[in-house]
Amino acid sequence: MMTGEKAMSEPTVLFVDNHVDFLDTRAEFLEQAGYRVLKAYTLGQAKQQLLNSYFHVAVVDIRMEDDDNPNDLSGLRLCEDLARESVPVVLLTEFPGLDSMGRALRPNPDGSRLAVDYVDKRDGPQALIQRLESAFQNEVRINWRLKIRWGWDENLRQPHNLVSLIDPDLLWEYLRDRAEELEDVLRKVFFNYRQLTIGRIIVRRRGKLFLKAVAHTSQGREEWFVLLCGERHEVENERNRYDDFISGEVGSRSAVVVSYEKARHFAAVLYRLPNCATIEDVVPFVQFYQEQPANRVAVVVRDLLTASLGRRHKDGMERRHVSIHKLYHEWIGKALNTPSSRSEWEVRLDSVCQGALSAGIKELECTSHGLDLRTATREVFSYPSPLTCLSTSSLNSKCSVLYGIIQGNLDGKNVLVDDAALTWVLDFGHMSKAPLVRDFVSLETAVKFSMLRCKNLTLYHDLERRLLAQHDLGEAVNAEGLAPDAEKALTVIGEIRSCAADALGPEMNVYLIGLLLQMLKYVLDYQPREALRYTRGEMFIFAYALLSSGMICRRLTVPSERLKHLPPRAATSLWLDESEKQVWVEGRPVTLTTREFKFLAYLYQRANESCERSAIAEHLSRTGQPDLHPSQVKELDRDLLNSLVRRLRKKIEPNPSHPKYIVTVRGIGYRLVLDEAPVDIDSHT
Amino acid sequence: MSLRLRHFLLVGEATQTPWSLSLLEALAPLGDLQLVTKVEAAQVLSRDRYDVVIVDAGAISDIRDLVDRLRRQKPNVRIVVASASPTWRQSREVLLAGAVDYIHKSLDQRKLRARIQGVLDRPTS
Repeated sequence: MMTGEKAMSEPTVLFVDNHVDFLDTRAEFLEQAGYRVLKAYTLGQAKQQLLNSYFHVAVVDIRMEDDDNPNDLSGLRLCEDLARESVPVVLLTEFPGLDSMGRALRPNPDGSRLAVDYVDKRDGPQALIQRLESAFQNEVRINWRLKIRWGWDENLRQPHNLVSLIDPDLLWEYLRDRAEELEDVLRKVFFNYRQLTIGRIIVRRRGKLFLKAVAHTSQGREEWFVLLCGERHEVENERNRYDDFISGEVGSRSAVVVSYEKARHFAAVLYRLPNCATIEDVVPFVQFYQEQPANRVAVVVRDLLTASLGRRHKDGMERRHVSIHKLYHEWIGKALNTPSSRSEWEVRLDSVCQGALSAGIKELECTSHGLDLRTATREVFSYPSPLTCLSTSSLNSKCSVLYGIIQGNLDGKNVLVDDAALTWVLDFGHMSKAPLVRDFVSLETAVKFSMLRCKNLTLYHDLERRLLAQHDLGEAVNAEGLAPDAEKALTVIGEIRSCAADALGPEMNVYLIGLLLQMLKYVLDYQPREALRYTRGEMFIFAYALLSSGMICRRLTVPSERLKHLPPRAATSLWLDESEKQVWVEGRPVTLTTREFKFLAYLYQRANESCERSAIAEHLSRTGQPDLHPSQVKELDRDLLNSLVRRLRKKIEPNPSHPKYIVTVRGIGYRLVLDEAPVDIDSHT
Repeated sequence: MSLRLRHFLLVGEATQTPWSLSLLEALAPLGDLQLVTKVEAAQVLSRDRYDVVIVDAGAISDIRDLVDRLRRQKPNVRIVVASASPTWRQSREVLLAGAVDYIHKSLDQRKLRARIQGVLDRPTS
């Protein structure tokens, strides 16, 4: 293990002054005082240094262009560039005055200042050294004495490795400066500690890394943290979303920010996991899934979706009526119905099939009508193209979707699990107010793509068919005859869907639309020009996402085909078929229990009439239990009718808290409100 | 411009001076002004809420120390220092101590009101 006894970087100052002699002599003093000095004799040179070199503080002369012109404040313009890069500036002048002083030190509305100090050149070198010391102490705040130990993770033997993981495309000549800067950011974040050991990588994202880190205080106390470090804009985005959506929560199981520091290119956040006994032992959910049996993973899934995320999901929860096209736009970030997006889709579908074929995945074929899957037993399954499906009119209708605060990118790598099966969520860069279903379907997709190891399209097809056979989200899925791996995935997905049923309601439609959009997002990520770079495993995921989207489309469009043979009321309002025992509300079939169906049928036969509670209760008790005593009927009225109405509203009303179909008639009972009474029911039975 | 009546605190001499009367007149359209000494300032500030605290540098010897103490007591308070003979060194001291502005007492009432209005328009930190 390499031990960083000495900091890579040393206190470095950019000195900007057009007086060559003055700059050179002052620079000598600063170097004797232990500073490394980068010199710039012109504003142009200073900007070059700002672009190419790493330094902690800048000393800038105010008059950089014309020493005899009292209006020359060109140095202040440079200060604006330096302030944007978070470089503290000490201003230097031979002509101190209230005006330039005010402009330099008067705080902006956001609390920032152009400069951190203001020095008269005639005050001598000691005054400058003193001000620099104070700038380093109060503004730069680097813990130069911190011992950093690298090498616990074999990918992180030195700071350069960390930089390369964060920015793999960085040019070689910048590597040393950036490594120094990143190390300084760590020295800032761990300002109050004596020793830091960089631990294993938890998850790597574009431009940022989450790591385990252990620090020792000067009293020798050991403290474990999750450390996020990365490109400044990525970490800033993460921090801003954390502030917007999490910081106010009390008692939550999200990571808690302990400190945050930024430099010019990098930034870091230190997190603590509340109620976590040992961060050392926590593992990402993906790893937990591989190591533990299905029932234990299911417990973790419930903890994650109800305890860790549930509170946030309920935060600002609201129901919105949105079209699938709007959801598509929100989810994918593009409009669906433009000619360019349609032709992009056509190309994309074709190229995924071709790419799959090149990678040896021969089961999937794009045909003129959509997609064909040919199994090893020579069976052929045909599915519609997702593009055709998304263009059908049934998907233009609005659906009722619950919105709340979501994590937004739940892929199993950004969830930590401890021995006690408690979970913590990291990675807040995608948090937003969005359809709650996204968190559930992204975790389900992660189970299918990242955790189920077997890469066999026929097996996935079988798994997907079983899942699509569900009538509602809480229904058990048949796992008979599946391989143990697939059975485990099915159990875990079953638990995810059961949690979704609790949070969103049992209705499948919105969940399936969410899954479809998630799959389409994967397909859209496919880059035909990069086809040769994809591994077989990656290509397999694209193929599966495409197949799955076709299968979901088939399931979603079945009702629309059936709708053609039903009365128009089934698509626009509420329609009930006594003989087939089916109910349709605004174009979607609704599954009801026997008692719910009887109740609704009673109201349907008396549409737009007020029905007394006692009459409804008597009807239900007579048809269900003919021998009930009148007092028991009254009991039924009181106890069951309310909950029955509540359940029914949840299933059929677009907004159950403001029912438009089953309305309460005060002092009497209920009325089923339809635009016009159904003509197909003309006698009360 | 907010229509809410603002509360200003002037920390300076125990008795009214020509400048404090001029300040009172200048700020009258914005709100009321209370005059306290350095000793009373901490107590008054802990009891009531003020939009801006104006410190008369002429009446206080250790001005940086006072600004520092007031900021420690109420970190969100907006402090303006007024001086009859401003110097850049004193300006540096008070701005680094946490004052948001440093003004010359010779400003006429219109300019004085504009500077204080500028301070009021800033969000409190």
